[in-house]
Amino acid sequence: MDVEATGYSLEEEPYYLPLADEVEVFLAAYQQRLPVLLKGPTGCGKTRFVEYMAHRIYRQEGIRKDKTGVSLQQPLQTVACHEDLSATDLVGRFLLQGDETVWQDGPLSRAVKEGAICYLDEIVEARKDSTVLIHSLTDHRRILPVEKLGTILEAHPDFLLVISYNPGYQNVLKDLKPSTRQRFISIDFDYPSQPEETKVIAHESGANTETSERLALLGAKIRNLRNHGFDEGVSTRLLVYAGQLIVQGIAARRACDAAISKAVSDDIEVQRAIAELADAVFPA
Amino acid sequence: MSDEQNILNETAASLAGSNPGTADAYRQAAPSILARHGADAFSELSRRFTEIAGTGWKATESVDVYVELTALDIDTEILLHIGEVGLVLTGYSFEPSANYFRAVRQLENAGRLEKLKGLETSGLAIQRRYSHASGLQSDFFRMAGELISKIDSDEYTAWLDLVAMSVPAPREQLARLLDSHPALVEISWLYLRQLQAVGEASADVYLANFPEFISTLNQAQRAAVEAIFTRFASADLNDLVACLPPLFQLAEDHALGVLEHAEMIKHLPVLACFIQHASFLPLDRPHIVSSWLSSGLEETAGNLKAMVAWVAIESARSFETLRALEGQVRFDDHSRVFDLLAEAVSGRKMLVTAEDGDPEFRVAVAENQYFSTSDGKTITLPNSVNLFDDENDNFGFYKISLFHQLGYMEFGCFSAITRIREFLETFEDSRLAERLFLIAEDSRIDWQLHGRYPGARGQLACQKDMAWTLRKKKAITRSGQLMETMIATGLDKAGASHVDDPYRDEAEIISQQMMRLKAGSSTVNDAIEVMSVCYDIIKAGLLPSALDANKSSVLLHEEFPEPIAYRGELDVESVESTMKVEAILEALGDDWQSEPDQVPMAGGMIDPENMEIEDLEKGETGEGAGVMIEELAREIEIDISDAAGSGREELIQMLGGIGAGAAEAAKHHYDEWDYQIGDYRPRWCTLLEHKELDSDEEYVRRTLVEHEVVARRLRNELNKVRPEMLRKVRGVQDGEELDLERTVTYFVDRKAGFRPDENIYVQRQRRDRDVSTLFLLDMSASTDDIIHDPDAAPVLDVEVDDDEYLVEYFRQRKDYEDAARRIIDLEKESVILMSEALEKLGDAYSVCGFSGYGREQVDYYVCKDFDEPLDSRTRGRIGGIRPCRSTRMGAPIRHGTKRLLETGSRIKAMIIISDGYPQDHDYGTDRNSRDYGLMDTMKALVEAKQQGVLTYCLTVDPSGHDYLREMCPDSQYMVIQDINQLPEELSRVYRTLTG
Repeated sequence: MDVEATGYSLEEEPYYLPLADEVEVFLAAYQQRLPVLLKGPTGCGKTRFVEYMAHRIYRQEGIRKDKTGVSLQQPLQTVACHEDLSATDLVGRFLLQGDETVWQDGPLSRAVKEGAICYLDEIVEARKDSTVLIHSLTDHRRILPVEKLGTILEAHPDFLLVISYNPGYQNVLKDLKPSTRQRFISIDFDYPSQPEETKVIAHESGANTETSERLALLGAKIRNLRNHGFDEGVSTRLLVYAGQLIVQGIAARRACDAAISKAVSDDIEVQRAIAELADAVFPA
Repeated sequence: MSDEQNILNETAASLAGSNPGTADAYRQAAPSILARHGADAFSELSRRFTEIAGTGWKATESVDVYVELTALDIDTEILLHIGEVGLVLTGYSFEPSANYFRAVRQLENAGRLEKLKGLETSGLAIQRRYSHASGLQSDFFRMAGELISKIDSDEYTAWLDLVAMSVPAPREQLARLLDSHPALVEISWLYLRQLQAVGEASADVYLANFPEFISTLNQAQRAAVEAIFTRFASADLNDLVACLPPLFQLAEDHALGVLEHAEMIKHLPVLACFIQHASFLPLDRPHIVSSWLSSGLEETAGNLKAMVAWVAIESARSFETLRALEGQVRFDDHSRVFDLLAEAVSGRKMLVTAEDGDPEFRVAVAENQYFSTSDGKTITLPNSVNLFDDENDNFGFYKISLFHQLGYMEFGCFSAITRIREFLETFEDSRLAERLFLIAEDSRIDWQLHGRYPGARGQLACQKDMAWTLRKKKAITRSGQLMETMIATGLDKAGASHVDDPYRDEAEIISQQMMRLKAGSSTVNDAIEVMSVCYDIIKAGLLPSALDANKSSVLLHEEFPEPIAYRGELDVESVESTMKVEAILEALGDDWQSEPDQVPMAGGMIDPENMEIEDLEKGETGEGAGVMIEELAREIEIDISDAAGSGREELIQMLGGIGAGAAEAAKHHYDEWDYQIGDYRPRWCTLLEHKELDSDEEYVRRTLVEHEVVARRLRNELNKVRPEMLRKVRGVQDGEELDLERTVTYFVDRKAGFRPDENIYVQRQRRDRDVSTLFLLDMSASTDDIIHDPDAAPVLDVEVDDDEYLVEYFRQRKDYEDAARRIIDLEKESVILMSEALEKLGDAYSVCGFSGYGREQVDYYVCKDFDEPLDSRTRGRIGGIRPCRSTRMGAPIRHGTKRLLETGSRIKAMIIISDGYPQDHDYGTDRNSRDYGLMDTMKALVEAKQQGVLTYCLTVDPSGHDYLREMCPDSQYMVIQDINQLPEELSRVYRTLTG
């Protein structure tokens, strides 16, 4: 099977620092079971946001329609989409088991049946047939046709579809079609401001405030170079990685080199410019 | 009456006939002559006096001196002999003999009468050779008389010998020895005699230049120059002397160092060139010069041209060796990194450029001739830095300089620039206020950098230390010392310590004020406040009442302290105009583009002069923005009417906002291959890339109409070009491999009883083309030649015998020429037809032309760039190509290669269309030799090939085989016999290259 799907049990509350009103908007959308589209660059916290929201909805707030008190084992199904991801991968397929075939649900079917949140990360990467598949789930019908079985699944009242989309680097051919796009509530994400990013880095990496501040400054400066072969700038995630390396005792400049310079671009001169910046930002 | 008395009377009477004074002098001297030398000698001498006096006008003057000699302690025999010689010398004038007698007197005075023989030998030799030139003879004796008292005996002998040796030589040479230039007293005649023995001409050159040497070289340096003269005595040293003046400009120890290094060089032309270019060497680090020179001489041994190129630092290896040795950092090697750093730090597209020209940086900095600068959109840095021994520190100069320039923006100076300018103008001496503000603000920015970029602290300190070391420590005036205090404090040096006692208290206050700016929270307002306080203190001492009432209290520019190289100079006014333009563009946002019509009609609500940039940034321009742009444009002299209807980019270009690329030609430097030295000449050619060409769209339209048939044929042929890129296509019925996932699904479906999908193969199909082609057109003047049609009728029978016929003949001839096709037309038509055909195919292509004059100006015209559409503008430019100047091919090929590489295409092709061999006025040292140009072009083609660019040369020159065969392999060139075949051939070449 070619699906990187994992169900999250989300026992612990994931760390998430709200930057605007995205939490309220998401909760309101969930109340109405409106599908949500998260737009924003790589590593700015979209996935973490979904995890955080899933935890709040399924582990804290009593806003689910399923009042039976059954706590879902895996309230969040995430699928990292790629160019070979087909409808079958999402819905399910027959597998050979000994001499017979056995049906196995895909992550989407599972979420639809159980009433979990299904999060399709980078949806535009997936094959066209899989994007069309979700249409019937995102309007009033809330159904999922299972072609192979010849059945139609009706979505659990708690089911919610969340997709993410990164307008930065997708090319024109892979843009999200209006027919898909216009079925979602859209929440924009961007990298946090320097003080906020400092907090995130400090929390996530365990680095001290000064180091986190410096990493955030470096991040802000590097993002000014978005037009030079790396449209995304440097992600908060990479800054956190750099912080983690520093916490592990790697010298700051080396950590930035490994986690940032080399990661964001293959252009040697861009790498050098970033290394020079890191050299300036971090004491020798 | 005795015989003696008779002689006396007769002689006196005879002398009195010419000059009574002489007769009197003779009478007076007579008794002592008689007493000392006896009657015979008296008689003899008296006769000689008469003889000499009788030789001509004023001859008695000689007699006077001769008579005087009789009173000296000179042997009778010698005295008589002197008279004999004196008489001989009075041939045409009295002067030689008079000067001769005087010289004898000098000899006697100096007790060196033994030199008399030498004096006479030389003097008489001159007389024999130049019997009529009494001036020359008299000069000799005069000089001989002068020198005897000034130089020692051996030197004197040497001089006499030199004169004797020079008698047969050209007269000027002799004259130089007799020139009584005061400097010649210092010359070593012994040395010169030695030199003359080896090479007469060298001694002459040395002598001719000695006055200059003595005034510009110290003794040790002269000794070194003499050593060089001795070594090359037999050669023509005029070339060497011509190369010496740069040496005289150097500091004493540097000049001596150069001369000492020169000892390593065995060939005179190399040595001369070395001295000439020595000022470009790091002379304060002689060990570097030494290793550079010795490795160069070793490497280039046997090739004189290569040696000359090495010592002139004109060969790539020489340049690299020197650079490596001195840890020099060059702007070009890091320009993109600087661009990126500037953009990262400022968040804007800044232009980081290098200073034009390439002076010895250390010298320039030491003499305060060089500074980094910023005008808000462009940061200018030095071309190269070698201030430190360590490469890292030299790079540090660039980095700190760049960060400092960006700091104006980062730490809030630029955004308040209007307020600052206005505030500065309220001061009586606003230039002083501006300078003080910049000192304070520069210091504040450095301290801010210190806080924000702890990693740069080490380098910052290092650059500050160097800046401090380079400053002239002591300012004389009070204001100078106080301003230096500000600078010193800003450089973290004890500010008031070097100030004279009376000013120490004031200096302390200034220093404390400056220290306020060190706080991490300090803003540009603090810098303004500090400036105000310092201004008042400095100004207080300048009040007319305090000093001379007549003296102006305004400080002169020379009295301001020199800026610090890495901080540079800021032009407040140009920064202000840049920031305003930028703010307007920002405030306008995208509206400008969508509603260009609004611009000219909006109401005039804002006065750009008094507008704050902060206001603009808040978007408070309102409807007045259009008018503001107009006014601002007027202020900076731009014709705004061109702007209506143009896009944001054009507007930026027009107003010169941040990020506006230079509209004028972009400069690029390229190496050139010199086969004679077997090395590249680094940065030898300056290539100017022009995008502005005359436009002639009509030409293109006409061509397309006239050659419609060819155009169609070309299109059809190019349509046959097959895509060459393989792409993996999944889910096909047949293919090279199985798609595993589809295969599994196939079996599962079959098992489950569904109808399986049989498209389970993966196939590689040719789907895409990834081609970029550059058509490079020779635009040299020779392409203006008419293509003669052999079948066409002659213009007219040329029988010119009456005026009317002549007029008619020239009229018809002009008509013929106007209508005739030229080589350039054919080139243009070919690319026009190709361009149209390629548009259909969809391949990326660029059309460029080149011409130029000399290595400093290789023109490269971009008619259509790879990413430009073929629209009226690009068509117009292709149509507008005109022939001009020469064909220097190497640099355009290198530039084209660079452009092709930037496209990143898989197939990169360059098709060069020319009409003759590469030729330019300084393409190689020998104008008549084509080899240099051919070799360079060949090298450029090889370089292109090595970088993955396919090249093809098409020429319409019938003799093209001769040189193209040398330049490129058979398969990469074509000589077009029938010129009308060019379009077809071009398309065939295109298909072969890219198909």
